[in-house]
Amino acid sequence: MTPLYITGLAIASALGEGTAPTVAALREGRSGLRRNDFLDCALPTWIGRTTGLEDERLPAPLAQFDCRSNRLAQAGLRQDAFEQHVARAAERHGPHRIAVYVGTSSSGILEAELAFRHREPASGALPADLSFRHTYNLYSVSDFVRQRLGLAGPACVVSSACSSSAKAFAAAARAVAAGLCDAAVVGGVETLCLTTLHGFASLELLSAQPCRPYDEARDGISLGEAAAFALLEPVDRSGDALALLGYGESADAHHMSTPHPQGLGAVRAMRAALASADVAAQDVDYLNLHGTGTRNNDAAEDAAVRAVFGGGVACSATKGWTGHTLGAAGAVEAVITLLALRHGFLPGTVNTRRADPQFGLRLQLRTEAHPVARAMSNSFGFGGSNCSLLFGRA
Amino acid sequence: MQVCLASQAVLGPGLADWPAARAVLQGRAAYVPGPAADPAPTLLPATERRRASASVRWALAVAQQALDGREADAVATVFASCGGDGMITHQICEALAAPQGVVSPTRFHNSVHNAPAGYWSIATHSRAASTSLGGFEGSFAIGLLEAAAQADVERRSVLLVAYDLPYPEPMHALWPVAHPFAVALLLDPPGSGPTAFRVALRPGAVRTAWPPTIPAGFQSNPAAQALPLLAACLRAGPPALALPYDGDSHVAVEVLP
Repeated sequence: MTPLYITGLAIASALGEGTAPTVAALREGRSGLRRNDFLDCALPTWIGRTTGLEDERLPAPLAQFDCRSNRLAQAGLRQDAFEQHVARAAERHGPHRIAVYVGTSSSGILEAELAFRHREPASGALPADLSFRHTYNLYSVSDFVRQRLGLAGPACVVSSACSSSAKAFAAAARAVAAGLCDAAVVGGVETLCLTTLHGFASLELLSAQPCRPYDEARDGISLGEAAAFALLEPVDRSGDALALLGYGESADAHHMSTPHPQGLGAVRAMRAALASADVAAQDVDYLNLHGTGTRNNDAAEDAAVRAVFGGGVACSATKGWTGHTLGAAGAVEAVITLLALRHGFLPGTVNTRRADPQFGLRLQLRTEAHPVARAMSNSFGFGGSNCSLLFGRA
Repeated sequence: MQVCLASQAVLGPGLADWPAARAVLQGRAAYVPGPAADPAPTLLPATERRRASASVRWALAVAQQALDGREADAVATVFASCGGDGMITHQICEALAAPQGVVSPTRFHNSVHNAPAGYWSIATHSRAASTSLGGFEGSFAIGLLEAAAQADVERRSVLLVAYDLPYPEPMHALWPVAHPFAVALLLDPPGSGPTAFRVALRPGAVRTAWPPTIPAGFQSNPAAQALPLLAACLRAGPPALALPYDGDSHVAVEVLP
């Protein structure tokens, strides 16, 4: 693919609001996880909750979009002068030439979950102020972002579970290449909700401790919530020449909630990303793993990474910092990967004490200053949906 | 962008398959209302077929027909739906509203928007790229743009599958879709078949007149927005059409002579 430069970057997660607190937390070894205190959910687990959403207010013309998911989206958009970067891009290209591709797996479903607690006893009707279009429909978050930014180009939600917002980068790159738009706002937004907390609990995949990806004693995930965005343009504006160089997508053809044991789908996605960027595996300096902390996921990904990179690349899993932000994980980890490139460091794998001795990939336990020229980020989801992104200086 | 339509399949009440729908679109047969038979996609193993929800069965039934015997691993897929699986959303929200809040694990992994894509990959053993999209009333057009972009940029064949089933009450009252509908289009890169069309995003919330032989109730289903395009490909409707996208724009399609 023709490289697309990163001309804006924003993040709000359990590590804080903005890229500066994110980098500081990664360097100082501070995980964003806390004991579960989400609503009245009593599950014994740890979560990466984004603070301050309870007080976030949407502008009056967009008040009907009010829900935790769109508040989180707005908290993300406010960071790192992202909205100003988008406004300048809109002046250059025209608002109808900038796309909005957001990945999410649950959007505003929390609104429907809570509304079902308040059905009218006789008729069963839902509360009259619940809006499908503006809250619990998947598209709500893209529609909100598009209107909040005043854009009128292509817009959609990509929803393929935990690969959603990585695939949003791929779809946006295609939209630019096909001439549908000149630039794209891509990102991921996912809030904590009861469906995912209780759903992962039912699959016995929630850890009772802060998750420890790739640890020999790993025993499940910690869920998190986050909004992360990037502005993609064909011309470098920020001066650091950071760009999306390639993407690769594949399916597992194996199982709805368990990865292929040898990671064959993951291998195909990573190789496709390298081919799309015309970059050799040995020229990649850092790999941000999908690394959820479940027994099966990490084992399958280890096999896949060894098949592609042969154990030569520095790897880390960053879900111990942010929690697993599901549909937003691809964008969150793309931002972390880009920050590693920009500031020259290898993020560590927080909470993890001893890498599983059966694994062969080179796990970076502690954050370390190190130049990074090219880096990959993996995102794999339920349904066997895989996406790998390659970033670097173009 | 330009693409070629290689094959298509539809499913809806009174529109049992493509030959039936084609006859109605061409005015050769009258539309006869009647419930659609619950599809049983034969490519799913019997256990998976029972476990798969109605929306997965509908999506896979049309996908299987439109694939038309091609090698699935060589065809990328794009799944597009506004509402995803309303029955599962309903069941999970109802369970979460109960004091224990226990969610069934099978329901949970079936609740992802890419459940049809996952079952398709498992059933066909295809590891080809797949994406699952959501829009609102423009979900079909959103899927069409992505599928056309893939055919154009990646120069590969793409199977576009759009589906929406009415939500059960009480959510149905908030999004009153009248009829279930699923459609699949097998799209090839330009220059590979006789039926070709151009696709572009244009400003303005305009839409083409609804095919007169199809009941207006189908207009409430985002997936059924494929019907004016299929009518145009049959030369049974205007060759230039506008599909709903969002409040400010539409997808302009021009079927080439």
